[in-house]
Amino acid sequence: MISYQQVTKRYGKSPTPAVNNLSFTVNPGEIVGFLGPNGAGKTTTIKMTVGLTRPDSGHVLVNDIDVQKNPLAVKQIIGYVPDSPEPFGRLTGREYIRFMADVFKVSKEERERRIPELLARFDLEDAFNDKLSGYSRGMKQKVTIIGSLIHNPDVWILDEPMVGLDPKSSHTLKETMRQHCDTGKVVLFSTHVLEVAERLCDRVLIINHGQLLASGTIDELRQQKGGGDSSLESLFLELTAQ
Amino acid sequence: MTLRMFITLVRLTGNTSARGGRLGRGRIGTWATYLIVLLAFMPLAYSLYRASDELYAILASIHQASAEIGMSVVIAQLFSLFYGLLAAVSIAFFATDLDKFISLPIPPWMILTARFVSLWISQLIISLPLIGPAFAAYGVHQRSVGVWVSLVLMYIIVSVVPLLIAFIVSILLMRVTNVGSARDKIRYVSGFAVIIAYIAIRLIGRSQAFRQYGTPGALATLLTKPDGLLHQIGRYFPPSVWEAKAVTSPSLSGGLTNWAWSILFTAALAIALLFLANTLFLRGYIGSGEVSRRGAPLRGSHVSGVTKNTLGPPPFKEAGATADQALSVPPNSAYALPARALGRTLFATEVLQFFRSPTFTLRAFSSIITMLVVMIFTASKSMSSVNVGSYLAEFSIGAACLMTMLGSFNLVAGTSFTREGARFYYVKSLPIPIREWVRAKWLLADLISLLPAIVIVILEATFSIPWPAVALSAVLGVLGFHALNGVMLWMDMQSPVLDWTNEQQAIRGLRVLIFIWGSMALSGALIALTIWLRAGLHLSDTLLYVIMLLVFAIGNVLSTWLVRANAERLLQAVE
Repeated sequence: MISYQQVTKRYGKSPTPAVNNLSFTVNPGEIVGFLGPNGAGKTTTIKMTVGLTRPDSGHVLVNDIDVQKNPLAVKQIIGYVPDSPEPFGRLTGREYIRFMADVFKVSKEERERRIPELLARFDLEDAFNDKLSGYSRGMKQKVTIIGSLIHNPDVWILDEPMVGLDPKSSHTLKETMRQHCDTGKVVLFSTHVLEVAERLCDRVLIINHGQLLASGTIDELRQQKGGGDSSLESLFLELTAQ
Repeated sequence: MTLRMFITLVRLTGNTSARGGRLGRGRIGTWATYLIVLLAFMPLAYSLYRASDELYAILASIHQASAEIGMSVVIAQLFSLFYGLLAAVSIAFFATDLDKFISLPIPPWMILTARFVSLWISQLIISLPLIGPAFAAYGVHQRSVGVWVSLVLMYIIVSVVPLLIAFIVSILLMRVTNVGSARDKIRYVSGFAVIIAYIAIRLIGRSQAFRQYGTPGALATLLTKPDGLLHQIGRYFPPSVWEAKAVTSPSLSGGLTNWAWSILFTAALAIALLFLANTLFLRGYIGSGEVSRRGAPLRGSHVSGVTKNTLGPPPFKEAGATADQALSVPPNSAYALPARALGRTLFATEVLQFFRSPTFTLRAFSSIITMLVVMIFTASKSMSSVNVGSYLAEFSIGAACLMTMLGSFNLVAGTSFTREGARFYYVKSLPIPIREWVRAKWLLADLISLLPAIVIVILEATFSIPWPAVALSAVLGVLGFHALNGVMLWMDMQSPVLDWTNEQQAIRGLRVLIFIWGSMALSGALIALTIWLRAGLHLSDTLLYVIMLLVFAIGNVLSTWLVRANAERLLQAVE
């Protein structure tokens, strides 16, 4: 479970906070899509969750552990896919995955089980011995995804994960996200692809100017906006235009 | 508009826009640190000036004052050519950010010229300590505004010719080699070839330049000729002589002519570079990118039993699928390398990343190898005539100071986090304790610093230094470079430059100069302390060793405290 409690973050002396008094919870067994225009505060919220930046006020709790108080314990249960994958270019895919498995203290048996499965799933077996610097953008994204899943994290956080993926890989990723969530884990991801959010998410959060504008299932959002069968796109445009 | 675009390109190549932004956001503390460190160099700078001043007096007494300018010009140009070749190959040939510019409607000559100017600016900083003292000594004695103007102009243009040559060579290399699949190997081979050539030029130049002047009569003839020494120093590369004489000759009796020759030669090279930039640069770059970069494929045994056909149907929510339909792929040990402890895996990854990055590796080893070889060559010629026995303690402590200095020349500690670049944030998101991360980086820096220390110890042993003195110098040396690496690590943590787009940007700039000169200043101070303790206080060998051991140990305690107390805070603050 991830719980954001009145979280505020301001960069430098900027008059507008990047995230402003944000509060919401993501429950186990839930896929939550984080939507919002560019600069809305999605990535900042995610960065605060994975310990890359610290909130000015408020708390982020992951499985009831405060990220600020015990960042290492939180990072141990999180799998994180950044918006622009920057894996270790001079390592091969095999060396990188080994590094990630070592960092997350994955057992030998678990490695032997999970690595072939994930490689097959994301179609990376043939490139496994190549250096990551030679990978395409999509391949880097896929190897980062595999690295983030190597320890079967309780909380899987993905920032714009579909960018750079081909349709098949994108499909596989959505399928993997659903499977991960079905085992009682948390999946939180940001996206600009509303169709993905509409089809995949149990719940969507719409954020703008660092504030939460709406939260709920697509049907709940429709009802909040007076019913009808409006698409998520029209709901999104309506909410973020205000 | 064109000029503005050009300036933007130069700033992007040098990464100056990002640094300017940092300063603007209140990184005054960082600059204050640099200022303090620079002020600390003042005694060293003054002592270098005094040495140059004394050399001027000697040369002036035999009417060969121009030779001092000639020597500094030759050294600066050789140095610029050496680093220019390494850097030009990296930023014009192997740069990963060239795609961004080449896809834009910017003429190739402008892209390349911007890179050239960026390198030139950085070379201005690097060559200052090489020629500054000699130029200052000459200027002070000449007492002429015209000479000072000439000296400043010469300082600005002294690196241009070697850098133009370096760029021309790299473009030609780019056109004739399609290296996509062997990029790093080619970089290593060419890099080490440049290092060997540099050493060869220095050694051959030193031993051959005055070979025919072995007899007193011939030497007297050389010294009675006007600018005889200067011509002898620069005879293998006439532009050095033109540039030196442009400064040292009076304007109407040769100065202007030499300026004209220098400018004409530089212009000819610049035109050649622009021509090559427009004709070969783009083709060479595209050609090298069209080669497959794939590494060794997996063997068949690696993938046995693992096929895409084992994948189940897409278990989408609306398709009613559940987690039970997860993939069924048999376990395969061929994919999984054995588990390692966190400390080991971090260190192993540091080592792999470092040694597979030619830019960093070559930078680390080039100055060490060059200095060591030249040192060995010099020592082999002069040591037989030196009676080490009388100065055993000074000699072994001096060797330890040399280990300390050379140990930090590699810049590994000073660029520890900067080398991570944008990856820094990714690693920071992983459950890695900062102390473990720092320890791995410090260990790598110490490992590389160990190389020159081992060579120096072998040299000491070769010169029949008693083993207790060798052992003591080794202990002091290890303590010395370990402490200095800690300080440089701390300095890098203060404000790592993470927004570089090509690796050269990570190892250039003012900080590099500070690290190199800082280590020289510290080693110089330690040697001065040794001499003072011995000559001033007349301490015995044993007491001298004890005091120096204490000094080095205190340095280690302070350095360890500096890193431990600040690492968590400094690295957490990088957002």
